[in-house]
Amino acid sequence: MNSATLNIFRRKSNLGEPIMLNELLSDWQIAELSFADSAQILMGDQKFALLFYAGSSEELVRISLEIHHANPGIQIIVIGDQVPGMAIFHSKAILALQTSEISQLPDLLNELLNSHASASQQAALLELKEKNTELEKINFELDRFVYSASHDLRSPLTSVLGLLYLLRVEVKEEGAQRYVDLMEESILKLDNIIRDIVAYSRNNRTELQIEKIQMKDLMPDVEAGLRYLESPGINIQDSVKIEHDNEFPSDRNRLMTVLNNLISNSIKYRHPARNPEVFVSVEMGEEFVTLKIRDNGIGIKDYHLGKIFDMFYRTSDHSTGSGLGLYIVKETIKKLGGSIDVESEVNQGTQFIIHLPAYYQENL
Amino acid sequence: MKSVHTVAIIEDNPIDVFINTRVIEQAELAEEILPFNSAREALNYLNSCAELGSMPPELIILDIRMPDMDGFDFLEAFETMPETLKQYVKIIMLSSSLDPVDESLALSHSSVVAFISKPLTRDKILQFPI
Repeated sequence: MNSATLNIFRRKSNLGEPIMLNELLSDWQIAELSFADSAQILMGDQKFALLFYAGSSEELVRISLEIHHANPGIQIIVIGDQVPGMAIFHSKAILALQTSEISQLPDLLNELLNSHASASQQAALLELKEKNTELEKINFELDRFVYSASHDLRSPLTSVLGLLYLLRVEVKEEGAQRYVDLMEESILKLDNIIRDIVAYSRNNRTELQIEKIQMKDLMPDVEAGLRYLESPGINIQDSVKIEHDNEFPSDRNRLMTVLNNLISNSIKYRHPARNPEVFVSVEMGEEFVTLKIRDNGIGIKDYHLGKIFDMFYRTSDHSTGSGLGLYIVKETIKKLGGSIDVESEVNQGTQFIIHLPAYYQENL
Repeated sequence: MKSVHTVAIIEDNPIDVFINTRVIEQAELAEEILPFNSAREALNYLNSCAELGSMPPELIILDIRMPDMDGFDFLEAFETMPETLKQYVKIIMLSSSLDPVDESLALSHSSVVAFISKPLTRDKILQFPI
């Protein structure tokens, strides 16, 4: 709007007859319309047209374009009875219309928006496409880098885990077993941090892959992934119960990330006085699928609850992880277009409630 | 009588060769264990089996990431070998990779019966019918 006013002001001094700027502006009927693509439209009446009328058609085009270029979001429409050079303006940013033609306005507006899109956005689109190709290449390379680096970081860890496994089998001394356990625990902690980082990076970079999913089909993989948390008396398969299952659309890998993190927390932060239990349920709604993951663990204190999804947040009293797990859960659910809430009672347990879209557009 | 006569291990990291060998010994899975520290070396051996008409290893434990020729290069070369040899051989792929593409690619080869995450353990190897 500012530069439109400036142009008008400059124009005024060139006009033969004195027109007061204020008078002019107060007379104007200016409306800004919002359209789907959020282009703004500036409409002016007869006086707006008169303002340009003094100059040649070319001059009118030049000035109008100047206004448009200074405010690319603004489309200008001139409506009046004596608008010159009508044909010239039916393109670019300017549309001139005889008052008698006002009924054609809706159609012309659409045309204007479309032609504007095809003309001035074509260059931008091309640039965008090039950028996109470049980004895809970077993404691909980054993907390779993440997997290569994580593989190289994990290789020595898996070797040590293999050696510890052999040590456990071959050395039967009581004391040695305890050291092996602690070493294994430390290595697994490091390995989980690497897995977290890979999951986080993967979530950010990859497109959603939506397929029909049932909880019961995911559970064997979740349980296999969490077997390292098992100890005498703690069996993942026995602990995790699906209360209510339903087929729903989701991204398998991302859902696995969410379930792995939440269920492993339920096992890690179990109540010392009872066997860990995790109840999983899926409820279909019109718009949302609601997943509930409830445990009978130690619970989370109120003052931690608001922060547990923050990056690197660790509750000082019990936390053993990297502080990334729930942050990744939140980010993953965000990517899925959903939301997550938590409710918890100390010594009773915790429930995570996840809302996910009940359907996805096919070309996601 | 052990379930498999010969197991070949294709693995460039000597520590992992040691681990895999020990695990297979303890599981009493095979009479003989043949370690190869490169895919090319193993391929030469299989080619000589084909030429001499001798029995190839019934099981191959194959690492994915190796210099020069990696596990997938090996699989491609293996697919071109005579059916008379291939029919005796089952392959288990073993890796530290977290890339889901590696697993799906591995399992898309008809001779690959399993994809196992390192480290190899007795339970992991015995859960597959060999």
